[in-house]
Amino acid sequence: MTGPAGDRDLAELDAALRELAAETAQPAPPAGLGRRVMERVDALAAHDRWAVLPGPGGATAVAVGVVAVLARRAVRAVPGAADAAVVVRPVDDGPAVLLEVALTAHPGVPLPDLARRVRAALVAAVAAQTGLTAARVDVHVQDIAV
Amino acid sequence: MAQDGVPADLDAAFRDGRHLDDGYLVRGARDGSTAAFGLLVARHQDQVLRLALRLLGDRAAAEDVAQEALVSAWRALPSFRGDAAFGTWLHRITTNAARQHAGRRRPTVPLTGEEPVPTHEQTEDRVLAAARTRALRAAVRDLPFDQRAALVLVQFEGLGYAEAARTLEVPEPTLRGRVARARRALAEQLRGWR
Repeated sequence: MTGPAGDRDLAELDAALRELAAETAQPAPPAGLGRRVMERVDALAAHDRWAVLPGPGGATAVAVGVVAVLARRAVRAVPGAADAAVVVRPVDDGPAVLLEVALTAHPGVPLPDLARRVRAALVAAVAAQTGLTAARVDVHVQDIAV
Repeated sequence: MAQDGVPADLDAAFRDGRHLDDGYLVRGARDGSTAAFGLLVARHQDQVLRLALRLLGDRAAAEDVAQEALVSAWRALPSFRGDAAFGTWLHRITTNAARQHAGRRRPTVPLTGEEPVPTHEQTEDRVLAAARTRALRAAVRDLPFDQRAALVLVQFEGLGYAEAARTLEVPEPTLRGRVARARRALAEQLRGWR
């Protein structure tokens, strides 16, 4: 039982390792693993990017998804605007953000005027609720509510 | 539902994304599509779990590590250059997650969760073989992590030396050395059970 491992030992080892490999070849399916992973991935994706508001006592980071949600609510409160999808991009991590609004208008509303009011409402809402600056708001009127 | 002239299985494959190759899904996921990443997770989670289980020898730890590895993969996607196969890259991430886990927690009791329970009569040979397998499993677990990872990739996962070396990001001679040392250590252990 002394001395280095010989060929016979290694051959036996291979056989034993093959058994061990077969034993672990098909572990029971991971119950809920994929779901748990995707819950965390979805949360990460939603809060992937942040607009940062520096302050004397520390920085406040606001997820762009949060800005988009409140921007959408602000748009829907504008008379003549039916609904909107909003994409938010921070400029160099903030505090300035760029907003892109895909707007659905009610019929009969003059569109340039509506776009101006939507822009003003968004600048005000973003400033009041997040402290961030909407440096630019592009409005795409892409549909009419019928 | 199959449309006219579209075979039902082809239709199903289109709906669940089976016809899409990893490269296509990886590009979609890198562009921010969680749906594309979800298909990759569904496709690769069994292998990730199996590797984690083989590296750690403990089911609960393996599930934790598999989850961490897959979430890490999402975070690291922007740095995945596509010069390795997605599967190889996932193996690397899983091994790194397992290494971190092994470094954090050192089990003080033998982990016996995965042992098959014999149901039929046991001859002396069988008892001996079972004891030997148990000892080998423990010996594999007691190897230093880098040796264990090298051994698991080559001898359990069936990777070639070159691919295993790429997976662990070490030169091939280093990888071969680790496998050889691991095998010698295990063979010494087995001799006690002859």
